[in-house]
Amino acid sequence: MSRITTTVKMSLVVLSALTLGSGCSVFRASVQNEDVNKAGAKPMDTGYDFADLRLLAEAVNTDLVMSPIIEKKPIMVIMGIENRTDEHIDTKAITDTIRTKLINEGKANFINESRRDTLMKEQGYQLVNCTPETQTLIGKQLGARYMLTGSLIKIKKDTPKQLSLSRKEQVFFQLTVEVTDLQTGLIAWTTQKERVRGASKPVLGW
Amino acid sequence: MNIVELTHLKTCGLLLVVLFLGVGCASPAPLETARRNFSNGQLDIADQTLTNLPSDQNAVMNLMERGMIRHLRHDYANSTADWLAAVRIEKELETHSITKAGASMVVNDSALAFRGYPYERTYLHVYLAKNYLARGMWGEAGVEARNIALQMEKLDGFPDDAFSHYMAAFCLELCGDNSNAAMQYRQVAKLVPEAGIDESTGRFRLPNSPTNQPVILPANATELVCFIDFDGFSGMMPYVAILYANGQALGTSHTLTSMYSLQTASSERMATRQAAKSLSRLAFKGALTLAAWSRNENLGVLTGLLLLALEDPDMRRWETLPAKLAVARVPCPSDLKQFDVEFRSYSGQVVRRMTVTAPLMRKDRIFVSILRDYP
Repeated sequence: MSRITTTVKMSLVVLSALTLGSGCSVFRASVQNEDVNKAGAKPMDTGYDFADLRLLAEAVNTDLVMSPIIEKKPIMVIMGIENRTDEHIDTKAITDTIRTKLINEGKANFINESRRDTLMKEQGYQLVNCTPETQTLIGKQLGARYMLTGSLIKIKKDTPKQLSLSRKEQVFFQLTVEVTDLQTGLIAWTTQKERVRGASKPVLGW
Repeated sequence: MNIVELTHLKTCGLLLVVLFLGVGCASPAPLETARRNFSNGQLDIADQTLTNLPSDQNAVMNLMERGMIRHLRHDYANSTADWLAAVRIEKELETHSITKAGASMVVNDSALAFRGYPYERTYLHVYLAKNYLARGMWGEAGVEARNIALQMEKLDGFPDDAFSHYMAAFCLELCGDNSNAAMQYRQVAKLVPEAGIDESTGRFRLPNSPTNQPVILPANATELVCFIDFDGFSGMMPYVAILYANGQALGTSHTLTSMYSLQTASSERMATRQAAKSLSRLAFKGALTLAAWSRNENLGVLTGLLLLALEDPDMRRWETLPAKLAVARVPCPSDLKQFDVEFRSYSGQVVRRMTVTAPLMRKDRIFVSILRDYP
């Protein structure tokens, strides 16, 4: 009888270990096949994510569309948003979103500054290899009137060191976007958008 | 011995063996092989050895080591990926695992996931910054500078480090954040006053200068900032590096950090906490042995022996970090394409010479390079 009891006990230990280690779905990675609702998607932590990108870019875009500089459908050039945070953030994605919306709504024209070298190369190639009637003309590019720049900052606040089962964290993102008149050098328009995010992390886990 | 006692003995023995095998050794074999290859200058083989890294309690250490191997192979993209992954995992480890803590009480501290000492965590960001500098990614280097500064704000009695402050300051300076750069340079000046650093420019005083004045350059003059790691791979530990361009001496390096000092000071800081934990663990193991003894003497002896055999100090650390870290900030020609470095010992003997062509990046009037006294 005692042998049977021991065998049963051992089997239970092994089964429990197997269940904890691999069996339960909680311990397995899963992938959702359906599209995640981007408007309702909740952030996983206090790090910058696609919700911040979308909300910050949309907020800036809404303000920019209302500004007087957009009335004459100006030609603009984007010179980048400076990342002044402690996270590796693709700030180009913010300006890409703003630019896409402005172009699609017919509010502004943009110089393709990031492909300038490729453009020059292609023009040089055409000059040598293409027929005169299909060659693009040199020196006919349009100059931008306005330059869009900005900066993204982050301020982080942690719970002070204390005896607690969780650690709270608050993160404040501020995006400043400014449009400079390239003729006068004056800042023609500027806006600031903010996001505050809070999260709680457990001190103890499995 | 009756059959019940024999079964108990077998069960207990089996569990202990499983525990021993499951927890694993402090430093797994591939990592040790890779480290040996690294020490022999065989970086390619070292990298191959660590191609498939297990996601175990040594994940952060494995990534630290592979990142360094790739960094020295000038494979900056993959090295960066490794170190960023190490940073991410290390952040997840801020949540203490109850199961691993429990296992460490029965086995040893190697059962706990390796996070590294605070200086090792800071150096993840320092070397990430180096990778970005080597690729001319100034904005990303600035991000790492802010991470270094954040790490240095929460030292909690662990040693401060001049080189990390200098790296943060320099990257912030490159990003145009001069006020924060000056704050970091001030920390360097406080930690290494003999270097005679100028807080506003990050430049060093001239060697043997009686006036204690740093180098003053014209506004449009170009300068070379070179981060140099000393290892003593050539058999003798270099004391200083002298930089030359077109046969002209540009200036010398200034050693800001000794890794040995950082490690010793960190170990001392942890000594009390570790001693208390070791005592608790021994007491716990004693109680387990007594419990087994009360059932069966042989079982007690076996349990006691196995538990004591598991007792092993946690010696895990980031071993491929250099012995010393130095900075040279010197005036240089505006058309700099390459420069020569002469490593000298304390007695002035030339230990090694090398010519540097890459990485050599330029931002405005500043050339940036990184190098290591490595085969």
